[in-house]
Amino acid sequence: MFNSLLKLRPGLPFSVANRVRSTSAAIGRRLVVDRMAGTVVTFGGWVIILSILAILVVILAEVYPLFKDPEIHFEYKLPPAAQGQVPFALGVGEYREIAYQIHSGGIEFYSLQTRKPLEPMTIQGLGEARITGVAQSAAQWLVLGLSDGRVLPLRVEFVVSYPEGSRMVVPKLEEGIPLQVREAGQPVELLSMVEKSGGGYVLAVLSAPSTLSILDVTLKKNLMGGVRRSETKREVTLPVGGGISTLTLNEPGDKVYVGTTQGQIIAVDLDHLPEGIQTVGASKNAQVGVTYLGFLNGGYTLIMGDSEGGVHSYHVNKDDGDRLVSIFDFHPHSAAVIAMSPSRRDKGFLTLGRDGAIQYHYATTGSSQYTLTRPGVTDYRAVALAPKNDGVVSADAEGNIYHWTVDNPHPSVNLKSLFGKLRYEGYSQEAYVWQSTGGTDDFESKFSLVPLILGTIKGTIYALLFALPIALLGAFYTSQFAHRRVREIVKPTIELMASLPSVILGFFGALVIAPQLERLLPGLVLMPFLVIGLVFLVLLVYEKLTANRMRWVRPGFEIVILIPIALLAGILSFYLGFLVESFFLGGDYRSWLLTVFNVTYDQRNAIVVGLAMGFAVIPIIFTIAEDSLSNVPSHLRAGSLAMGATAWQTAVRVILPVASPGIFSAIMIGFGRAVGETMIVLMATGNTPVTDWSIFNGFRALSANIAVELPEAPEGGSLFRILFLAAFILFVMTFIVNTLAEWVRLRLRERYRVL
Amino acid sequence: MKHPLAHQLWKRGDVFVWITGVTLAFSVIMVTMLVLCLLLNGLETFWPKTLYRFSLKEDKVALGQITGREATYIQGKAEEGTRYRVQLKQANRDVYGIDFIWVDEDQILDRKSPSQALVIERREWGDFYGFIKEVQSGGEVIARGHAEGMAALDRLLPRITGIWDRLERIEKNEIGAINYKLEKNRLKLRKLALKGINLGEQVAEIERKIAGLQEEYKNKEEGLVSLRAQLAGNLVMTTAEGTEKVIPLNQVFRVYSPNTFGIFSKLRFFGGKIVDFISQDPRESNTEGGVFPAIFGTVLMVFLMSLFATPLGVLAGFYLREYAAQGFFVSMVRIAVNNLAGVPSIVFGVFGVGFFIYFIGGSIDKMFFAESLPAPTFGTGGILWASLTMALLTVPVVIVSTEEGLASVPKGVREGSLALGATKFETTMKVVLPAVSPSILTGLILAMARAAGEVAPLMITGVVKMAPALPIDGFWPFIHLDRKFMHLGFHIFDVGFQSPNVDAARAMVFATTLLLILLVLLLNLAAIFLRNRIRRKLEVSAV
Repeated sequence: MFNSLLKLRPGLPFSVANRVRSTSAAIGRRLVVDRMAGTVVTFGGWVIILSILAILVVILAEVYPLFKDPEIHFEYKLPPAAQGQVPFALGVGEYREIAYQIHSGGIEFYSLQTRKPLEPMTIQGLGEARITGVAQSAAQWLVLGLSDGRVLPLRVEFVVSYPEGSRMVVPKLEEGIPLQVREAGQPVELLSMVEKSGGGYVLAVLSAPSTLSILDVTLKKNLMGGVRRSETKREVTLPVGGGISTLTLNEPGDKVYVGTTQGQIIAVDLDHLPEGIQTVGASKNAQVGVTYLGFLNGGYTLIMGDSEGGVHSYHVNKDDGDRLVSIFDFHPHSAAVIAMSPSRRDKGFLTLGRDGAIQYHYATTGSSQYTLTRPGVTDYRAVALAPKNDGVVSADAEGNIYHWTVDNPHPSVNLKSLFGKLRYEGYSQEAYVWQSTGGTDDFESKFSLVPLILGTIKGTIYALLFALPIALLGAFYTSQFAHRRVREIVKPTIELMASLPSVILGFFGALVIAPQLERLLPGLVLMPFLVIGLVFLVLLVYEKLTANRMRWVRPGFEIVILIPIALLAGILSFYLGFLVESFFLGGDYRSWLLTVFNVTYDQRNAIVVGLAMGFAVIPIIFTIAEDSLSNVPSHLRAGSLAMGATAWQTAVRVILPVASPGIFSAIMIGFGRAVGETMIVLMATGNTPVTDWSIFNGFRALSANIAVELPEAPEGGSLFRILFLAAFILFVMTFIVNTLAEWVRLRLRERYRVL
Repeated sequence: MKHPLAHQLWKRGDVFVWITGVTLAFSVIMVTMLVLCLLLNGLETFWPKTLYRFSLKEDKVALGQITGREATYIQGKAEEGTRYRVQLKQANRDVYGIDFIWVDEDQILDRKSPSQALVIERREWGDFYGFIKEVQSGGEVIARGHAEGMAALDRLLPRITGIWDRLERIEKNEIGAINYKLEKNRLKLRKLALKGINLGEQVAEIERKIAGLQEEYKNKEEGLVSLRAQLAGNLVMTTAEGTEKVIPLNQVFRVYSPNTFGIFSKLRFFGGKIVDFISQDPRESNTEGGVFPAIFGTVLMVFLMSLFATPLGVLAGFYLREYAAQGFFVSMVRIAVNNLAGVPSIVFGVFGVGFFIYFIGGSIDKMFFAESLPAPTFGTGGILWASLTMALLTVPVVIVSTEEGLASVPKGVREGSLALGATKFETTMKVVLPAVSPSILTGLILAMARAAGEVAPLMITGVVKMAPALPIDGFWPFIHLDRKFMHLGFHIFDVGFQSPNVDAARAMVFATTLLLILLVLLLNLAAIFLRNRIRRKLEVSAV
């Protein structure tokens, strides 16, 4: 019977066979249940393992696109609609549905989706003339320079409508009034234009080899709704050697920057003529001519291209007579730079060289991110970056159009912008700046994580500075000297402190500690000295009084007398603090700090965080340190005491060395907790992302920054991903520290076992 | 060290023992002070404070409660002795503009506590402090002066409060229900339109329903108007300076005269305020009223969290101890679990945002709630995602305590069961699980305490300062896991730091803090108690 059963169900526990009455079906069911349960439990275990991995994977997956190389795809080449025209400028609509080309014969529109030319539109003001030059302003207007000496303002608009629910875009032209700037028959080739904020525009035209004509057109709306137009024309002759090769107006339209074939950059201050003409910059030597000048979005950074293919960026230093400050030399072209197309939304721009390469650079970081070339094509004439930075269109000398799509969603982010010092527009030097949102449209987000990381470290250090001595010494006393009964009360009390929600500690820090600290700081500084002094004094008196007599404080119960001493010392030191403040610090320590050390005092500062975070960190360090100290095998202690060492000598020379890895691991875990703490730093600091170490100032930590900014960050944007990166940094920091602590603790456990 | 005794103390190390002891004393003092400070400040909020009428210099008067006192310094003149100023809550925000003022003590000529001074808690504009002038009803003055006025208020207020409550009920429940159904039907229409059905029987049916609901809505609105008409009646008050202020009776929430209170009425008032605080909705952008929605949100979130974390944590604990082969891999996992406990809570929040909200929530929206896009249903923060995030955060606590429990079950017990023919599953269920269940419970309680107090991950996964509706209500499917919710911890952060009137919010923050701290400490004490009982039991069984 047994045998047959065992044969029937191999692998059955032997004992089952004893239950002769159970049918094999019931046994089978039990085994199935057993196996299923095993699967479920294993599954549960794996879910945990996988979720740990998932945390890392999800966060990294969100961070990854920040550092991905741009993806570029060449779409197609479109033949020109009209033959034999020279292209001057290109433009692309918002969603890359329509592009236009301005060539010597007029304007042509293409649908980038159907790859076909759209219905031709004629420019009425053109007449018999041909287009000889084009200037694009930062807004929608552009100006055509014509072969008969006129200029013609033109606006290209893309009208969006939704007939039958689907999006339709139609181009629309609006022509301004043409102006005669050169004599008839003299073509306008070099020109620049900016729109004025109040209406109207400023135009600079090269009208003779070294003469600029400046046209200032003001449009004023009067009360009747009509527009009054006034124009002024000025001529400036520049003292240049060599020819003028390029010119550009600055954004307010009060300065013209002129580049010469001998490599000079000359600024012409239109409001201070004739003396306001000065050379503000130069190429590396007179053999290298300036071939292109143009401002980026925001009008602060000037890009210069030279005849050797060099691409350079400058800031205008307003404090130093508008001298140009060289910022970056970008990856050069191998031949002269002939055109540039700035992004309308950030500091990226395309440059076009005679070598047939189109390069994308980012001005803030100085990086050159991608290069576009087509085999056999070297004579591009115009280039345009799509408004959403997602495409590039260029035209060669025959008017063929080339279209690329680009996936480069985070051009401003690289390791340098995240962790390096950068000179942002408007800054007089390189700096680490975190400033994710700003008031104006052309505001540039500054994503340096350095101030945040420093903030995290600052908060952690000041918290540990306060927490470590208290926690470690307290643990030392509790484990070595305190009576068992004292320990049974004290330890759970302090452990209970660990369970206090950090939001409460943050609130306590900000609304209770901060205002009190502002009053009591001098006393707090005095407190450690006073406490130690008082303890010493009391001990001395106590010893004297109880010499050779019964002690009224049993060993291990010192805490009973120490609590009143600490309280007394606390009160005394605050009182003394007031005295010191009024006698030595002129009655107000804050103004004293300001005059003597030149430090300002914020109400919510690093001390407040240190104190509040101390509440969170002390119990953790205390518990772990206490555990490792009291787990030291007792025979070591007994041996030392038996050899005649005092309790203190035993504790310091025997116990402490053995338990020191445990104490190290306690410090590490406390460090990890302080690094990741969010609510306390969020509430108890001013949250200003600054890089300074002053204990009297606030800071912004990585964790608090995530909590503040993530709810407002659009999904998938640069800010969103950078916040994930911040989380990743926090994760890694704590992971390393915790693993180290765990490893040390495991080693220690092994050591205790051996001992 | 010349002094022999001092030298001896130094050498023996007694000094150092005492110094280490003093740090411990400091920790104990710190905790005690923190808890005492929060306890006193929190309870003080509910205690009725005397209303003082101050006569100040320059013929000024002020009526208010003292809320603080501090020393003032004049620069360089500290030696002349410190002077003090007191903070008064003078209320009457709509009359004075600010409800808290500082008064220098040397400005105060005398102070009295007039028995006729009243505190009126209003539904809007905060408290009003003053004296009754008259009570009007139906356009006529029906009572003059304090005594008559109080009697009239006692008569009128219950009725008006009753009507007000009914109005609120109708607005919230009945009209709320209609709105809810309207929205559902509109979404149904969109869903059909997305499928390409714009006409036909189904559409007409829904449109009929919508029309019916709109009709119903109109009727209810009319009912409300007639009810509101019954809310007439005014209370005319004078401030300390004699300025008159008309307060509509329907704005009056509670009237009391703290200066006439004896100790028992004070206690009764105190109890009543605590009940109100726990059971009522917040008013005045969370700075007054109760915190019921926040309590509800906290409890529900913790409950959902336990629902996810317990099975997972227990399974993982059993896997690591009972099912997985012990070795390098399992100890790696154990280190990872311990590590998980040390990962900053905000990182879990970030994970929740990336994974639960945008990845899973976004996918759910695309698949099942396409009709309400682009407004997200699950693709935004909500109580489900917050609880899941929290579950992940607290699961290490459950795992560790389950493992601890399993480790303390003697091997012999298991072997005995197996030897009697039980399968592994049966052994686990009937022998091991009962033995570890107290440990699991301990872990769970600790996890709950952690979840109740943690705020940072919630801030980005679905907590709001003011949720329009509770996550559980009377509409199918009753539990709305996609809804945003309120949380006690976030309430503290929001009211204490984001509210424009910090002084007015202070009391509320302290009270909420006290509530949260009590909740967390209670849970922790329960866990400690349970753990001690297990230990004792184990000691006994080991003998």
